[in-house]
Amino acid sequence: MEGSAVNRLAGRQHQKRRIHQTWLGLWIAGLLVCFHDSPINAEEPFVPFLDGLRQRGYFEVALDYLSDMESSPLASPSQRTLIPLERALTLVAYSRTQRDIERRLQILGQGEKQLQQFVNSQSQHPKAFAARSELANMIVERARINLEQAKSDDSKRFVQQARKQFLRAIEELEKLRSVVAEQLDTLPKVLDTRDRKEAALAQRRTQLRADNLQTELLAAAIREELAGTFDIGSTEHQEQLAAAASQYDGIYKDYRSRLAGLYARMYQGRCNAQMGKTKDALAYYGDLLDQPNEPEDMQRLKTEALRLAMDCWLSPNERKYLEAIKRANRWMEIVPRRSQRGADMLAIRLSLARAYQMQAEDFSRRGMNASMITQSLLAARENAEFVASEEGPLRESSQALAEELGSQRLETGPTEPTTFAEATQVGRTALDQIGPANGRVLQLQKQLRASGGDDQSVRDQLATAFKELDTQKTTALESYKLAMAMVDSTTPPTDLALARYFLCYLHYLNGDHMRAAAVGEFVARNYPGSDAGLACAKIALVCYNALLDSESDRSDLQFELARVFELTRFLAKTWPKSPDAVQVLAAGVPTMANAGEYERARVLTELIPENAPERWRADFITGQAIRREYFEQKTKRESATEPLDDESVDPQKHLADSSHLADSSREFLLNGFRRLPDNPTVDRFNVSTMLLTAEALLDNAQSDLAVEVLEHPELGPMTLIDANDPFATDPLLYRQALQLALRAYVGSIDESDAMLDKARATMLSLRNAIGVDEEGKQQMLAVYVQLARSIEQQIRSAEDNDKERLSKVFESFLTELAGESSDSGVLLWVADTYVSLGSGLDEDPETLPPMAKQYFSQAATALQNLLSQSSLDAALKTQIRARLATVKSLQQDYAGALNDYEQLLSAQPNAVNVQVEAARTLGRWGKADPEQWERAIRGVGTGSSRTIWGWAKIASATMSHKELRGTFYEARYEAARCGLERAKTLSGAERERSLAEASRTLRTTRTLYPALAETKWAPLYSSLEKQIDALR
Amino acid sequence: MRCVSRCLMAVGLSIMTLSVVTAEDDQVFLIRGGVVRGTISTVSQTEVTVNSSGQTQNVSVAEIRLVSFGDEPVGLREGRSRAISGKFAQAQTDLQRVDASSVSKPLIKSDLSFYLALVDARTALTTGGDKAAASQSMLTFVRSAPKSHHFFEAAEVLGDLAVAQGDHASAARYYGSIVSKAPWPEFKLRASLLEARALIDQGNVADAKTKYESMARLTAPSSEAKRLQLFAKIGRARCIAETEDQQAGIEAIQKIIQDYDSTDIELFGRAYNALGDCYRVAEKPKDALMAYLHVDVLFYAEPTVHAESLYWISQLWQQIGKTDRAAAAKNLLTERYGGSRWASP
Repeated sequence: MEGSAVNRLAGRQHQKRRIHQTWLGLWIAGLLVCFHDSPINAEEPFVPFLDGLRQRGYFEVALDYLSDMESSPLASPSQRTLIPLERALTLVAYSRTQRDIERRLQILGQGEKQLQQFVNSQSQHPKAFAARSELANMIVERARINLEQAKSDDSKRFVQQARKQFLRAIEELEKLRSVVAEQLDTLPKVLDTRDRKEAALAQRRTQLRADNLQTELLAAAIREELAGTFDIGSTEHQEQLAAAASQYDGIYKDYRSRLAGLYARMYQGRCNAQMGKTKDALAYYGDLLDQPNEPEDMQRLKTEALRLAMDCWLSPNERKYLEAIKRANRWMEIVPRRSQRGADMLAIRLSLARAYQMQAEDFSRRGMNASMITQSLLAARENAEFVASEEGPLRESSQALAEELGSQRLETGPTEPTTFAEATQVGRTALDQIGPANGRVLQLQKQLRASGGDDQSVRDQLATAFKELDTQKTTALESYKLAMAMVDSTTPPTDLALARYFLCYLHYLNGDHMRAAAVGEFVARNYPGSDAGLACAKIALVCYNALLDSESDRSDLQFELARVFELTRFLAKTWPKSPDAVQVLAAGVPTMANAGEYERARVLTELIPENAPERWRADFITGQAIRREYFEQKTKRESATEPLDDESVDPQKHLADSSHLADSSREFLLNGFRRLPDNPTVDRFNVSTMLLTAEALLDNAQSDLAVEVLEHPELGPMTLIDANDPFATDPLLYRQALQLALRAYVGSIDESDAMLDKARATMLSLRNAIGVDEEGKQQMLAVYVQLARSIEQQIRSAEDNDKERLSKVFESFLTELAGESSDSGVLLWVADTYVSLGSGLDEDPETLPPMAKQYFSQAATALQNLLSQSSLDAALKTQIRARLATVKSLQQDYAGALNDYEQLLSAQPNAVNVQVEAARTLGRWGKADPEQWERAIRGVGTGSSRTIWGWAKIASATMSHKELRGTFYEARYEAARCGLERAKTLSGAERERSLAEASRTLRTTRTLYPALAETKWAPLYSSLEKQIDALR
Repeated sequence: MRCVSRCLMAVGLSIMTLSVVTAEDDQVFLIRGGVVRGTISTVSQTEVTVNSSGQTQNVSVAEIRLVSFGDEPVGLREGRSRAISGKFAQAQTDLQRVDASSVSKPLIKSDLSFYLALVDARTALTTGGDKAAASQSMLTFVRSAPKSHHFFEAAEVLGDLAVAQGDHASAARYYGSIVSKAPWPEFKLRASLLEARALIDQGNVADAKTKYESMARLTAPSSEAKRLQLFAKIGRARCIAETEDQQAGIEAIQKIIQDYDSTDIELFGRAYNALGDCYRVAEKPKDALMAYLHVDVLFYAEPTVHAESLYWISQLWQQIGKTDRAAAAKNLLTERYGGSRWASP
């Protein structure tokens, strides 16, 4: 704010340059808005768009746009309040383009009206005082018009009018200043910024102080301009300058510790210089030149002050050329090389050339040594030539001086650019023409469409317009390319950054995304502090995204994805306060997620501020992506028969990774859920993510939270089903929602009946939805199995005193279900769930808790009842018998279990899974009866009557089957383990033999199957080997 | 009154100016700016001696941007100026316009033959020409003027021509003569750099790395010497990527890019070419292409650097299936740098 106030107050030349720089900044924004088809800007870019239109001279379009925005749904309420102000600014800028004075005044009047409207209706708006300052500026604008009129008409009358207007503007600013001061007085002097309310007041105070300072500076500057309307040296001229100087003095005294105060001091000096008081002026400049050279803002101020001081030293009443030479040379050594060609430094150099010239004159007059005169003249010429080599307002005068000093006439005319400045100038001229040329093409295309495409004359004009557009684009591109070869250490960095920005933009316009991205990212990373940095980063990002979309080889997108990710992260970190930061992050998250780059999606999501409206959706997307990865890894591992290529030596680490993925996805999904906005959109993505969130929570035994998700008032899938929302008609979503709801309700069952009722109702709805055909039954069975697992998990994770209570709650639910249903699926599930309940309580391998015993017994009863049904097919009967045998084993009825297995295996001896269960039963039995260790290894029976194989035969039977490699490893391990257990019961040679065999079994397996080292069996094998070694 | 005095002053100044700089003066233009005017009495491999108003000034060759002679033919003056700014074709026309037999002063005669040989050599090395004949011309110059102030530049050009013809032994000899004879560290460093690059050309990366490392160890007294050491750092990083650790090479170059001023076009051009080389070694063709494109778009002012980047851009576009772009890069390479070794490697 302080800086902007200062900028407006520099001298005319200075102002022009500042305006030019501001124009460039705005032009950049304009270009991006007009040509940039980036998907990253979701909001209506109201002000940048208007700036762009104004800077490109499209005032009528800007006014039309403002009219549209009055009723457009795209405009936010805060944007609508700004419409009169923006319209006024547009009209003022528009008025300056008018040659006809009357028309200019008319447009200015319209602008004034709009500004007045804004001031009246938005008196509390933060921009209200700025708007009032703008009103005063409009009066100044009228005064300037009058001064222009004075050049060609009744000069006296117009000058008089101009003076009146300047005075009126000053008066308005005075009034404004007192209002601002009054408001400032109402604010407490001491404010605690840690307090929210007081912090807001402090912010308001800062704004008011800035407004106050700006008003004071403007008033002084207008008075200085008013002085210029009087004859130089006249009483009025002197009086006004003295008044302006006095005002500047007051500002300096009030703000001497701030940059604005120091600038006021400089302007005070300038007023004195104009009054002919060069000594006073030099004293003021001296104050500034004695300041330190840092920071850069101070260095800039000192450069400007030196420029003004040089004029004073060289003025006829001072002629202190020695001081000028000394100061300028010293300053040239201090200022970095990159700033040597800035406008102020060029002006200093030109003054230096004149100082040397004065020195040569003096030496000559005093009849001094010729070589000293020569040296002075050469130094003068060298400096003049330096300035003359640069484009700009000083070129002509410096060239004249250089010629006067004996330099050859420099070539001018339409030759190829020979300096960076010339090349960029040509580029800019062409670039400025691209907009109008493009406008012409669009206009002719419209005309051609209106004529049905038949108008040959329009066709010809269009062809010419296209050619013109191409020419301008090519000229601009080639000129900027040429400029790149002319860069040297004295090229001003701002100019270089800007030229590279234009080059980037032109490549982008040409569709050359690789080159545009290369330049764009380079500028962004090397000039993060310049206007061009952010603009280039955005173009580069658009280009990388375009490269990503257009890459035909979809299997290799690593480069494009890495660039999009790195640049997005860089942009967000470098310009964290820019609205673009959140926009690009929000756009980058789905890009990464869709490409399976869940880790990168995670990083980008976490960079979005937690309170940003974009965050919840990014959380959802990332949560989904991580969960997808979790499932993929899980499926891959479950279906793999050999260790996966990408698995490390430590399988435990993979389990931890997998668990980390599950945790991380759940966290993101839950965060997204908690950050849901009011009235979120009901769409497929959101609804399916809610289901995924519920599922993740259920997998983690967080049934209560899952219920909360499923019953969310706006987006909850069960809410939508209840409300017959169209999404509820999607059979897939519907079934999924019911399945998850059933798990959630069952998991949340407590002493009250509410959840029980919901579970019952949901189960009924689910069965109806799935149907009773064979496929439906299978699906229902899968649901039951999952439900049983979830109950078991819930009991396992419950506190000890809760376990029994929970088990009883489920038991009652199961009893009820078993009583109501004759469906084999339900009954099988009931039995399985009893097993789960028992297993949840059975944590001690030695003794069976009474409750667990009871549940296993109920499971056995349920299975027996089911087996007695006559309608069962043979396969289901076999399945039930196998489960019954397992239940008996769990009940520690090993003989009964073994009897069942023998019966099953006599019919199907090659059923490996049943053989494994039978061997496991023998292994369990061994703890109670050591005789069984041998049987667990060698099997039951001999020769062809050996129905139960034991681990040794299971191993040899599965050895050649790659898909059963896991069973093979288990069989070899168990054979060794049972051998070890058996050895513990023996002594002497037999014991040694048993231990040796167990050891050999393990060693041979590891040697012959090196892939075992990468499976979960590796640590188990080595642990067992250690135990064996310890006994030998 | 004010106008009148200004006019008088202008007249006085023109007279003074004429009395100071005459048409016959020889001029030595300095790299840091400024000119030494007078009569050049003698030149050596290391110094130019100028007599002015009875005083003698010895100017070190290391400080000289160019030397012109007061009574030299216009063709030589213009040709020299164009040759220095890289406009070799026009320079050749200007220089060939000069009737050598009409030049009597030995220094001017020698200067003319140097610039003729230089233009032939640079043309052969860039747009194309007879490299062997250019070498011969330059050798003839060196033999005829072994004490010329152009000696070290001639040696460098001879080295460049030898590299372009695959004669690495001769290149090492020419560059080596600069290292051994030049009294200035900057000249020694520059020649060492060229030697190291020639070694890489031969595929001798290990020796190139050693050379780069020895350069980095030297004490650099001037900013130019420090700059040349940066080139050595870049070269070393490239060698490391090829022989030891790709990522370490990449990071070392990225650090230079991050830390230094990008107005040094040659430094950045070479840095990005080296970065491209590292990525190629790391089998990351798109990253390599991106690095070389930086040179083509932003840092292409040095012809050898640009030619190298264009060669790899063409190869890499081809590798990733963009044949039209590969052809465009190849065309630009042959059209602009047909004489470069990159145009016909």
